[in-house]
Amino acid sequence: MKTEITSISKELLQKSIDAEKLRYCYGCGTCTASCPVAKVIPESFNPRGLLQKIFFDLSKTLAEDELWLCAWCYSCYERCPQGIKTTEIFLLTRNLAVEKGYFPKQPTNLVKQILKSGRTLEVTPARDRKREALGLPKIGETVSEKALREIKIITEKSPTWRVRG
Amino acid sequence: MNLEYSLFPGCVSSAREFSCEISARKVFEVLNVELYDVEDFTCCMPACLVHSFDYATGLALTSRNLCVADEFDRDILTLCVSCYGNLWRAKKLMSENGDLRRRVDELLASIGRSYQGKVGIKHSITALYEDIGPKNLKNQVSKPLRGIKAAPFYGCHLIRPREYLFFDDAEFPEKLDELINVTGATSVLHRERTGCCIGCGSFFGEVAEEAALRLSVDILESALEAKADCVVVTCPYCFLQIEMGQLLFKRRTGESYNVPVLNYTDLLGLALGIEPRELGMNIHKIDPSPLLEKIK
Repeated sequence: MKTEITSISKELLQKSIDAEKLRYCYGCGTCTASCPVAKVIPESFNPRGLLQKIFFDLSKTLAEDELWLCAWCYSCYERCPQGIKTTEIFLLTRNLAVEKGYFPKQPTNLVKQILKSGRTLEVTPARDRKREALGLPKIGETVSEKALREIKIITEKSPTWRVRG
Repeated sequence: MNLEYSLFPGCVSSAREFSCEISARKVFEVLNVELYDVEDFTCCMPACLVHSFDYATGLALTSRNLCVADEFDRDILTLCVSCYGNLWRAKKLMSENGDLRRRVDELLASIGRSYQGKVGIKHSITALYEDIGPKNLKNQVSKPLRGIKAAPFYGCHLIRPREYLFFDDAEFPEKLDELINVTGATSVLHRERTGCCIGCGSFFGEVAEEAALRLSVDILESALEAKADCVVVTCPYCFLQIEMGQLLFKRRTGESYNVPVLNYTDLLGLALGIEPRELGMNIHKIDPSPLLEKIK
């Protein structure tokens, strides 16, 4: 157990975050009490529990869907009395999960959409015509060619993006 | 007043929730504020989604937008609070000179860009409050919305985290309430005012979608407990979630809430005497007519 804790902290630290602080968690549950997701689906998401799982059993946690349920509201981050950067820790843990090959279905589609259009949501020609009819500027199915090219150059260097794109 | 911004509309308003963009463009036009479209902006590449795959690549993609904005000598104006918070987060991370910054600098160098972080990052609400000011806005109100009770929904990334978002208090913000009251409407205090719509979390499957629906219902209940006539949002994602929540709830239970959802710029626009149609209120999915009747 001890070895794993050390290696986890190290791995997270390498990603330039103060995961060191994870060990300061005394389990007060302010995060869970503040969490909008835990409020409505307590059976599926519990940030205090998730933090403890990340700390004590990382390899198992990487495969769990719970990791992808944080909605990024920063309520727990704002309120943690120990200053633990919960939201960022969840994000870095997702990075580790992705590195280990755990990739939920939706983000894969998202990667494809971004590489194709430069946006997370698709603007079909019909949507664009609707924009025009409403008096908004047409924006096309993709962002500018230059922007799209730059996205491609940046993401080509990432193994994750190469595999999923 | 000669204010101008680079408009950063964001994916949700560009691709889904058009009323937010229509309303913001109209209101800023009436206020004599110039919004410039910038060709080379992309999605803000939200941390919750895009940085989840690969932190440094995500940060480089977000920071790239800040590099593009620096080509022009004017602040960015976002319509979406997620874009706002995400761009600020990148600015904050890029101000720390560590390994991460070096890796991102390398990625940006590969496209011939270098990060400066010169221009400021505003959201339509922060621009209205800080750059124009409630007093100025009040002076321009020609049609005060007396009798309207509005439930403010601040939106997570307008106020959290305080570590790098300085607009308002994270626990008890007041500035959106102040902006609502400027229009002649009355802001009501309700328990979900600083809540979350799960827009950012709803990408990840059915469980998250269920959570989003339950939260929308909770937000609506919160507004109704405070006897509000409408929910006022600052973000197209909150708008979408709280409207869609009502439609899904109706489909599931047969019961309807029919609580109009308004972009803050709708409320302000009405008070400035702009026609509802010009604000895009005719494409709202929850019919705002009962509310509009009230202020006729």
